[in-house]
Amino acid sequence: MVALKRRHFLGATVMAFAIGRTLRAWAAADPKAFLDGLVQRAIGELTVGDISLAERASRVKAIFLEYFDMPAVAKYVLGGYWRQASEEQRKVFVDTFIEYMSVIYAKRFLEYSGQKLHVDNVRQNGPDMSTIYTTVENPNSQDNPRIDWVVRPEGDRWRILDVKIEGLSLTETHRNEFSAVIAHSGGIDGLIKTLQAKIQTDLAQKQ
Amino acid sequence: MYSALRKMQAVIVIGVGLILAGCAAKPNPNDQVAVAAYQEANDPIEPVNRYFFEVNHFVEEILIKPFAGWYRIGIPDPVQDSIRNFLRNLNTPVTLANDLLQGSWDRAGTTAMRFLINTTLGIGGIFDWASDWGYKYHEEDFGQTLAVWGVDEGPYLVLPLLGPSNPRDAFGQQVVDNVFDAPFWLDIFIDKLGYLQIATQGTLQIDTYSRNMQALSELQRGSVDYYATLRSLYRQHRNDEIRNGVDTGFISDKASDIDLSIPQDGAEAPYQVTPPLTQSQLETRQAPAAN
Repeated sequence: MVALKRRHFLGATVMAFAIGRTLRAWAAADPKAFLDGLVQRAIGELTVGDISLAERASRVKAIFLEYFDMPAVAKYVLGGYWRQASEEQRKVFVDTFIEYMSVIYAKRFLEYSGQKLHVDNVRQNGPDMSTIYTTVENPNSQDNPRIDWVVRPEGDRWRILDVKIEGLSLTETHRNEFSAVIAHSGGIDGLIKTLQAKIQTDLAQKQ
Repeated sequence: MYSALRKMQAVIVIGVGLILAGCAAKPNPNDQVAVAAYQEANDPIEPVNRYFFEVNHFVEEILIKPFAGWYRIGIPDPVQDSIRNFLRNLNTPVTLANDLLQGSWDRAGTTAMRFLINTTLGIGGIFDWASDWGYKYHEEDFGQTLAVWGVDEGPYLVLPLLGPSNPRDAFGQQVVDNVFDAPFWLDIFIDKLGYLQIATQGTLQIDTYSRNMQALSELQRGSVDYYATLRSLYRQHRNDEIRNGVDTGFISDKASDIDLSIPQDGAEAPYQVTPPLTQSQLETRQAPAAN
């Protein structure tokens, strides 16, 4: 009797767990729900005016870490230099890159005036990569920029690998920029120093 | 005679010296990653380009920015839109000619319809009713046409006053497109005119700049190398224009035309999840069968 109950209990737990997982997987797999979650979170946390830049940067960082695959983005952005970097340099670069992105994007997204994302299409590019094609619906203007989100599934959710606004890729742009810094300012260590200096000066500025 | 020759010699020596001094430092040939980065940047006269970039930026700050700021604040948004609509409509022959030269019959049709609707109902082009009816604006130029014909962009160039370019785009936009440009011919054939083309292009520049001013200054503040950032963005933007905004990263144009079609009535487009590509399709970049 007890054994049976336990089995029931176990079975029910496994079932509930499985259903929960499936539901969550289903929810995450819906591109609109995923991107709406991101947009809502960003609007809710970043369009308030009365927080310091440091606080804003830490909120941006939390969003980046939750919705993006930041280590993969950092690796891509370093390009061929990733292979040349030592274990230590890679680690420092990934951390510095995430800080840098958080600080520079904390200064953006200050204004929000009712734009909405419309998911036009989702295309699976390979076994673990898809592109979500969206356009911005702008209530005040005829301009409807396209935004493409390159994502990969991870368990029951998605991680963003790249964002392309009107064909301008976030990762491509930073990769080209960082290559130039590496060539002109003393290699990978020079790049890390440049980024760290940028973070310091930006955080020191009054908003 | 002799001294004139000597002078010419001196000029040539100085000119060659300047060009050599203006060449970017070549990377260590044994460092494959650095060599690849150098080739990808495709900017052999980078120091000269950076110099003109600074000059242009200075002109932008002291001349264009105040103008654009005044334009942004002093002129109501609907009037700004009308100015842009009018100038875009005036530019129709350039876009139409290049649509046709690229063999994009559908897009040529859109351009022609836009011109008919906006020139008449839109009162000489100041209202863009065509957009509301599904004939969305697009731009073509002879630089894009050359790209479609298979001409390589060539090394990156920063033109004085005109900004980022390359030999293909400079030749296409600054030379060939004049043939299709109405203000260019009006300047030639009407005596009193002479600066119409400069005026129209200048106004369009200021309009574009004023619309992007905030984004540009944010970009500059966030960059660790603003020059390299804009070089990258210029190329990406041109490639996007050449592909007419279609992402060809994984599949061919034909399939994406089908996949990206959005109902014109604005109804929610269904998510069309196309099947994953097989390995061989990924390698050959073949499109999956359209369904």
